[in-house]
Amino acid sequence: MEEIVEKVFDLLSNRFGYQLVQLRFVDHKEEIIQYRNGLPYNCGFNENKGVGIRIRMNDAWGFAATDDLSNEGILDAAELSWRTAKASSRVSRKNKIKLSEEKVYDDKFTVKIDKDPFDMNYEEKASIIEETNLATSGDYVKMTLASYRSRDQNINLYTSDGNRIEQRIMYTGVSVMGVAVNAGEIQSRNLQNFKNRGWEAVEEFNPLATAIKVRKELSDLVTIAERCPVNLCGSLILEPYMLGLTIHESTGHPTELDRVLGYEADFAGTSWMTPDKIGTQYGNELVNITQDPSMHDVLGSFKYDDEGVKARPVSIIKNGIFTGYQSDREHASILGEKSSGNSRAENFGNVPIIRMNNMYLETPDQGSDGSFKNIEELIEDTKNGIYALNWKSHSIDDKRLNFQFNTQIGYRIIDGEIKAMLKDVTYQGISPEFWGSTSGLTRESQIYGLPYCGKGSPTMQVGIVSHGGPWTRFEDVRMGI
Amino acid sequence: MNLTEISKLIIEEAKKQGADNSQVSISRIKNIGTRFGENHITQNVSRNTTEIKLITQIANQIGVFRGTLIEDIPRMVNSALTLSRHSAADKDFPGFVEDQPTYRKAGRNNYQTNVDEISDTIKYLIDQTEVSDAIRTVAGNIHYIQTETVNLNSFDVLAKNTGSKISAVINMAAYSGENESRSSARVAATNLEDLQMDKTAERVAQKAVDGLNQQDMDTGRYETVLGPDAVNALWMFMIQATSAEALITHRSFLKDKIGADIVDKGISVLDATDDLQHYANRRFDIDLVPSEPIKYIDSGVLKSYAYNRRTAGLLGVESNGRNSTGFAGEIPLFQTGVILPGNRSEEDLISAIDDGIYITNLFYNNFVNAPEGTCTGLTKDGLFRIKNGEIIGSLKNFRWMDSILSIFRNAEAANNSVQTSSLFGGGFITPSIKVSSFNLSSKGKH
Repeated sequence: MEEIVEKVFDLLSNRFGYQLVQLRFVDHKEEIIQYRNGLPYNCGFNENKGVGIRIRMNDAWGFAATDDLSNEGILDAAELSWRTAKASSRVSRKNKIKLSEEKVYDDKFTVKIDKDPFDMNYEEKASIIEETNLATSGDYVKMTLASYRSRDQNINLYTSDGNRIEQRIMYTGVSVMGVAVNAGEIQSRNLQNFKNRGWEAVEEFNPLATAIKVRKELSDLVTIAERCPVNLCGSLILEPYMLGLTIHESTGHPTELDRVLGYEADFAGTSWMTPDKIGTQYGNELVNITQDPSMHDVLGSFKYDDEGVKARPVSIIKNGIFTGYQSDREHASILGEKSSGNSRAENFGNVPIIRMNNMYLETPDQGSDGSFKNIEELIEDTKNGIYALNWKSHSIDDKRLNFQFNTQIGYRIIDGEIKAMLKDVTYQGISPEFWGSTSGLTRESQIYGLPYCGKGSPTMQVGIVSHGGPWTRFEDVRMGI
Repeated sequence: MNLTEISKLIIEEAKKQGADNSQVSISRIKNIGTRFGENHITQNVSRNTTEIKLITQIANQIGVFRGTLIEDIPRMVNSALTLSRHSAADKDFPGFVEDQPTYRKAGRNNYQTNVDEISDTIKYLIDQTEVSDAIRTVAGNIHYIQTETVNLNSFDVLAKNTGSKISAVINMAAYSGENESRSSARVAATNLEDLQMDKTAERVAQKAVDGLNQQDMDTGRYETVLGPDAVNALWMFMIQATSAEALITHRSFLKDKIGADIVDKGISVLDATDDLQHYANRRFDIDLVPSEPIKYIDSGVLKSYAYNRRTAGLLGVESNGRNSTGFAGEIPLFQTGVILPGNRSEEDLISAIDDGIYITNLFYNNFVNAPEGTCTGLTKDGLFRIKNGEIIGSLKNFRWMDSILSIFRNAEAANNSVQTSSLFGGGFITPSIKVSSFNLSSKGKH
């Protein structure tokens, strides 16, 4: 590999306008085992390998990818990437931007894997998924799906400015889903978690116990649950998974710097969190949101991003004040900053773009304002509201202000006690007003992984992210839309 | 070695290693995605890959391999067969097509372009757009895909196709002081020229300028003209609900509606797989079943769901060749949509409204309750007020929330059809549509 990399560097280094080349070799394998209604469904094994070559010339980018890993194939891809960069340079930015200066590294990293799923007996994995699927069915549950997925990527990054980084990033997880039907009422439940770990992530999730919980809750949802009260204005408590979606949509996406600067306008939209808002109020003083891809085990974690920038915690919101963006070397430089290390590509064929990784709400200190031990204590302190769990659907505007989310299940709280299970819980808010109404955080917290964030039109990529934090309460929220 | 020869080697290897039956699909894919924003190219991606999908069958045990490892055929076949040997029996597996179907002869166009031509088109577009105090920034993308695909199974059923498709988005921002107005449009075709980027850009620029100085308005129900992009966005809910997969998973609001009046009798919708100018035209699906054109809504009446072999088997009908590769596995979809145009122009439809709105685009639309067909989303990139038959100004954005069927229950199609790409790899040719009631449920902030 080193030899062909040097050949690519030699091929390009003396060309007029040449600035940088990044070669990213990816060896990818992925396994999916699913059971639907007791039968195998869309199971499969995916294996591919290739290289993505990204070139910067005359302050413009080109990218070409190939799965032909012969020397000739890689050199052809390098030529195509050069041609692509040259084409870009004819329509380049008027104000030239130099990439942010970053340290370079020669290092190897692997996520911690206790039990490699790809070394395990297939029947052992399949039987657990089948058993999970079967345990979900029964009572009123008419459709069930249990799904396990593991992805293993070996990534070798070589950059002409000196990075030599090898990373093995594996993630594994499982989801348990069911649909219950009773007297015209249809309700669904889907619980899942993914981690940058091996099969132990599945064991930790305890799919069988989850299946039994899903079946019981689904049956309750179509028999005893009450419909969410209409136009209720009160307290809303979100558990960490639902909080995670809220962070993802209302904090994560609007602080991606490419989006903020108008480069996502053709698809994802723009952002209300423009650079002039740095240092202004985003939420109240209870709100501390951090991204940290260096946190072990969580989905979306890594040691170096796909430009070779080392992972580190970055404060996005500090005591309610908007403090920083997610960025890469190009976009950080526009603001005169260092990259926050958010440059990521899904596979060898994808160009690195700014992606969320692990973004979460921090837990409070004991004794601080709005600090509660756990969810039970938080409910006891709530006079009139809803405790909502697990997202069902989501929608937010192109500047990430007006959102409406649905949850799979909820509980009505009156005078500190749960009075009823609720179905079809919806809530709506305006991002800074919502975060400005934060009134309680537990000192217990959880982080969940989701491997499903789409970005990067027109060559769309699916990103892997983690979110969560404490059980969190908000006030004067409009619910029951 | 050509793709047919490689396919034969794979099928032979699968038989040698013990497969009862097998089916392989190999695609050589050339993919160019060029993205621009703030008046310059921001991403320029060229990707050349060969993708393989191999399904092996031993009794009712199925194995699937997907990947790029064409040089090591025995190992690839072994990967699929290992899954076949160790999987439980899938009694719902419908098997492979056993008799060679007769496919229509003409396939997709096979238009060739390259990164220089695409980048130069973008340069021309940006240079020609009068970037002034009004239109300050131009953004968008062009996406070209050319594929050569060979499908072969162990019953010697062979299905080949070579084709190309191209789509684009143009987004422009106009400013008046601090006030920003964005406008956007999506277009799709089988070649670059047919995208008519110049004409589209003119339309987008004018709408961006017209959209400045947005006013407030009350929430509520309004008579509405939906532009083609907005219709495309809303119709995605119908496409999902007409999938037989949604019937099986209890997520369709169109369950048991065959023969029922579901939308206005003026609305008819084709899945025009045989239209060679359609972005998503095709002759067969990934099951190798012929994809013949279907009028799935005829004068407001639902006539058909989209089936693949698996869902058709479960529901006791024949597949109509609509299988496709979705995010979470195979899913049958009507991907070649055409809403038949009406007789009146979009201007005529606007002039028929006394008090209403014109919506150009909708954004982040999602189900609130899928089985009931309740949906929500937001207006984006151009919302206009109609009074006494005329557009009198622009509006701040709103969240909408409504029953998708009630939106189209009283509707009239215009005669201004536009082709756009849509989610799930499909395309859609649609006119603007006037609807009698559209619910704006809450106010946006911009």
